[in-house]
Amino acid sequence: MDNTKLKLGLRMGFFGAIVALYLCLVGLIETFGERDIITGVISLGHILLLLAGLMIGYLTMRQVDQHINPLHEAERKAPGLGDTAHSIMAGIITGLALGLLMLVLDRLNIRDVLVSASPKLLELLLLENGITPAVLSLLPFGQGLAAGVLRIVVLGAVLGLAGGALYLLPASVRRPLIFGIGMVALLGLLSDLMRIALDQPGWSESFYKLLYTGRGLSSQGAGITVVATAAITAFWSYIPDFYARVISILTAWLPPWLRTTLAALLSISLLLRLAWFLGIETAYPPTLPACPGVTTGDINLAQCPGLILEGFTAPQGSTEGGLTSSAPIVSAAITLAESLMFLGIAASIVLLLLRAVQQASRAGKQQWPAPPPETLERAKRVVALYLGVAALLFVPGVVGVYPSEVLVMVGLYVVMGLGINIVVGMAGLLDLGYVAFFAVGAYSTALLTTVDASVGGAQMSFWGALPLVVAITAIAGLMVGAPVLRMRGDYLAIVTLGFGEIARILALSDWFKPWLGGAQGIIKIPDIHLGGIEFVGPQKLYYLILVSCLIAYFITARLKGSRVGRAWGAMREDEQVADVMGVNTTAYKLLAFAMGALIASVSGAIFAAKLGTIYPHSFKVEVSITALGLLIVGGIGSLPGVVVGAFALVGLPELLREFSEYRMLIYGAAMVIMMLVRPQGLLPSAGRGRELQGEELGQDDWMRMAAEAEAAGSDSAA
Amino acid sequence: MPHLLESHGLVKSFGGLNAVDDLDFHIEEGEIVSLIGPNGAGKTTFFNLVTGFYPADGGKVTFGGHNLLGLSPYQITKLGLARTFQTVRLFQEMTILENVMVGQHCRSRSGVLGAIFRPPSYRVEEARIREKAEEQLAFFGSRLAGYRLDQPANSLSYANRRRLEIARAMGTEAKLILMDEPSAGMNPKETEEIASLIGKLRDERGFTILFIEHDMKVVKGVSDRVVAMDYGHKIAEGSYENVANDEHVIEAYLGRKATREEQDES
Amino acid sequence: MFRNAPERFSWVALLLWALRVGVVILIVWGASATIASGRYSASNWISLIVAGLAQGSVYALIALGYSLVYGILLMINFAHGEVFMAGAFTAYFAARALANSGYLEKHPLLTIGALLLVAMTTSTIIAVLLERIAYRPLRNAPRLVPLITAIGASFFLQYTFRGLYGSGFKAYPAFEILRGRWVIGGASIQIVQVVVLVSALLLMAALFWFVERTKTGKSMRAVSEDKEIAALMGIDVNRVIFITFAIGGLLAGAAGVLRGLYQPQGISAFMGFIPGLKAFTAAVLGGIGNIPGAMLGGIFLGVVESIGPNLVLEGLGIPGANQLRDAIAIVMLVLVLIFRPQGILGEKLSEEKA
Repeated sequence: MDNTKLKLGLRMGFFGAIVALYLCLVGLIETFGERDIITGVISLGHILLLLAGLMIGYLTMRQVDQHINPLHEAERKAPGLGDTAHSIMAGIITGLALGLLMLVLDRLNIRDVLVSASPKLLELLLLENGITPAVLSLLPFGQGLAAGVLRIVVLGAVLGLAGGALYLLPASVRRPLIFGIGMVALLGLLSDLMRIALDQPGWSESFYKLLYTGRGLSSQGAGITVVATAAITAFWSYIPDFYARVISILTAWLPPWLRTTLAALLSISLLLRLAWFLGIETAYPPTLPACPGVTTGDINLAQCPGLILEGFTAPQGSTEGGLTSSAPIVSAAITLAESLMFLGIAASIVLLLLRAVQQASRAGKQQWPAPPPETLERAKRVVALYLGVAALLFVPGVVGVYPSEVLVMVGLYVVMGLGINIVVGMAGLLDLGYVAFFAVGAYSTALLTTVDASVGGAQMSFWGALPLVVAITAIAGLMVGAPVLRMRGDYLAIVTLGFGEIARILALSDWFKPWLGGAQGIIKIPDIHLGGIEFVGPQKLYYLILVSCLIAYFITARLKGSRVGRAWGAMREDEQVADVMGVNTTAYKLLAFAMGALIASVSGAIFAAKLGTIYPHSFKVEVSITALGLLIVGGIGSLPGVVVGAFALVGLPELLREFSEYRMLIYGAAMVIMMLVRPQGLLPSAGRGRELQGEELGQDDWMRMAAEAEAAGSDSAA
Repeated sequence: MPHLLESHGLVKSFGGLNAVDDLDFHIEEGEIVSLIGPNGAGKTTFFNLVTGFYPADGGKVTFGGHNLLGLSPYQITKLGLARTFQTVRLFQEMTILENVMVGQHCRSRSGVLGAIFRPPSYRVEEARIREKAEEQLAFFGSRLAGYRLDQPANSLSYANRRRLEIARAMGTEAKLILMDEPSAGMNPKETEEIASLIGKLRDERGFTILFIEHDMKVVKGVSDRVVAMDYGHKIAEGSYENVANDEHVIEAYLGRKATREEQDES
Repeated sequence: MFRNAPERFSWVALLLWALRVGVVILIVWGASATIASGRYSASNWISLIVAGLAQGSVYALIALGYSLVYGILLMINFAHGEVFMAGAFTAYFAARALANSGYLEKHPLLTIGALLLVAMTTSTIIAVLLERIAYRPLRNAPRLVPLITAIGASFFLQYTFRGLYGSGFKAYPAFEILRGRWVIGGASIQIVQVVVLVSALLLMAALFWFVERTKTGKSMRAVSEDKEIAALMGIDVNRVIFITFAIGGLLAGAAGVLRGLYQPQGISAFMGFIPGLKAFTAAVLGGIGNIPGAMLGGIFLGVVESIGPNLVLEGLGIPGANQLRDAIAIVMLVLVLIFRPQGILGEKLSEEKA
């Protein structure tokens, strides 16, 4: 047997053992063991161990592969099934380590030192608890400690084999499989969310029942998920094609006036529904389908024109009570618009069918319609935009209160992430005290708007205060920026970190207590009003955040490709050279700090109004690290990356209560691993990341010329 | 009429050692001057002083009548002086075009608000910046024009990186370009190209050029005037032939008389 | 076409001068007001200073780790505070075990020695692993990449220790011999502070000897001068970097135990963050990369932090001055970096280091 390969297997097994023991002892397995992924079959804790086993097998195989094929693409030989022996060995070693842990857990009480080494952990490792008898009977070796240890070792071997085999599979098979398993894990994780969102009378309930049972997926739900995801993944590449085909049929076969009318009706009904939703005077409006009159049917379609007319002729309804008292009118309008729209859709379907039949009757000449490319492209964009906007606007009504709350948090971090992206991603100034700007935004909003007499604020409205808040925070940005102007990257990081801490210490201190309220903070911050709309509750705040995100996104995207963005980029790449190329680096550094601060202040302002009370505890360094972390996970400098990063780093943990304790642990690990493995992030910005990876394109002119000369020489010789 | 760039009694010392010592130098508009001398003669230090990288310890530098000492590099660039570096220093992750567009920074003025709202003035300016940048790149003929200008600069070959650096300096619309060893690390063919390029820069684009060079073929080929430095002093000046045959220059390159060597070591 | 050259007069320089004068005036004013008020006696001040010296010597031990690593790799090992924490944690469990077995009562000094040994071992292992896993692969990466990695590693370690050992504060068992106070000329000094100070000084002396006298120490200095040249001279740079991290870990581990000994409320997984920040301040204060500088910087910072709130801030009439203790170090860091980035003992750093 190949000695090096053996060593590789041993080393990976050792590595796997450490990872598995770490996961157990740090408490992740136990905490996650409480969450069912597939009810009665597997918990999140088990999934974690399962994934660890698979990963070890997979990585071992990859190492072996790289060992066999170190250099040349041409001489590659694929690793065979025989090589899985190493994966199995690594898996067995991992299993042995866990078995040993089980024995220790059984015989000794080490909980005194390692708090997670609990009987609960042992139970989880025995794979007996929380598992339905039907599944239990499938497990080999029966019950008891010895059986459990043996089982986990065998399981390690099986997982190692599976992981190794996964590596050997062609990508076209592997990807659907991995995505399927991943989707099961994701849907299982989101089971609480799904229950809130779907488990309501109607079609959604039956859908929920199809997939879920208890606190996780049902077995059949898991099966359906795997199959569906695998199918979608396998056919993923055809989706754009399919989309283009649908759009081309619609544009070619539907007359323009019908398309326009449909779009207009759809827009009207969307806007009306939105107005109705925002106009409700409660923090927790019912979900959209329950719009009165539309579903309950107490407004007759024939009455609608009259009701709307009444709304126009009796304006006191809309002026005195805001939109609320006009709710019946809006409902009526929605009913009318949507009835017309459905009529239009029905007409289009008939039309399409007619055309299809017509097409079919012309035998032999069946061709799909192909509108001119520009028209098609435009239509594709318009429809995608329409769908995107509609989805963004109706998320809170559809998903309900709690998920909206999560979205609000994600949105706050998206805004912050976009702001810190200016400072770190564009200008290259590693700011670890970014939370200070968020805090200044929140505190100045609180002070300017609070109705609490003890602080003696200006009692302004949110909108009146906002320009001041932005200005104050931008000035704070300048004040932080000024002293650190001459500092180099890593000093700057530590000093800004220090500034963030100072801000918190001062806010907590007795010194500033008369103004900032000390540890109790500032209370009675009023809600945000705009026109007749009251932004209370996450579902309405969502819209405010959405608008802030869009504005911040717009601003950063515009800055990115502009003269200012180029100056920042130059400064990020080489400050001295930027200076020599005519960029006033002092001014542009300050500008970056001010812009970053300005964007963070909006996030802070909404945060303050959302909570109604703020205190220093909300502004710990963890906030800075989270904002930085989402930037890194998404890809430094990449704007879509910020959004993806925020969903991954803020959205997921917010949904999973179990995560919260391990949030920073996972962020820390993610930052290290990202920097080591994929420094450009999940969604790298164009052009970036090559340098981070240190990749050089060896295409020097003289090398190419030499090669050409050689080729020419051999040609002439032949 | 004053010289385009001139220095009088310029001094810069590092830890007691005078890297540039009492240097008098001048260059006329439209001239091509090469600066030669052994390693450590103070050539690059002179560039760094002129472009505001280092503060000078004494003396005077004027450019078109303006005193340069005490100005920041970006202010000096705005006055019309640009440079390249001995070790190519591009904005690696920015695209080729963007690199040159940065050069236009000091000739444009739109700010944050312009970038966000993009009024017509911004669009006009941005179009001009782009056009100028493309014009500079076109100067290099097939070498850089149309060469995937949206590729990151670090995807370029070494020689093209040097060219891009020159294009970036040209992009600042400077009157005078300082080049620090433009042919360093290039093969003989490329070196030849660089030499003709320097001539073209003056003849076609009207730049005044001061360059540091070790390759005497380049120096001989294009310089109107050669200035030789050693130990921070100017040791010779004049046409290539005069300088090449100058006793001090030969001494500086080939070694000194034994007596002086001993003095140096003691 | 070109506008006139701007004035030579620099607003930035003026502002800096104003800031400098302002800081000095505030300090003098505060100090004189406090002294004039006679609120504290001379013996109060002596106690405060000794406490500051003890605290500062711990900072100095951690600061040395920052300084050594910076001197060689030009990177800030952000996770160094966690290396310190790891030492304190391991020693806590060892101390508890020894206390339960009664060994601590019989041989308190030997126990302290054993604790130091345990803590130094753990911290060294963590520091070396950190270098091997997180920093070595990134040695040629752009500067911010290892820094981000270090920040990530720092949080990872904090929360790992919390996960492994729980989140509460853990107080070291009581050492009878450390509990008393000495009264010298009216000033009462805690014995534990003296012990901490002396142990730290001994360790620093040992380090100084190591770096100045041994062959390995010399190669460390050579590598910090120029990595490439040192490698050409036949020095194994990887080994030197390894040793540097190991020494940093040793000192941080010892600092962890010393901190645990005099910290009444005990230790926690998050104990490393603030001392880490302060030790970094100390390293910068003394001139980063400079060994005696880090020692002096640490001790200076400890003393300033100890007497600063009472002496200056109270004099300025700021309520709850002791709450601002942690802010002092940061303000000092900023001021040093603005006015004297090379630190107290540091020489002007060359272009690439500064």
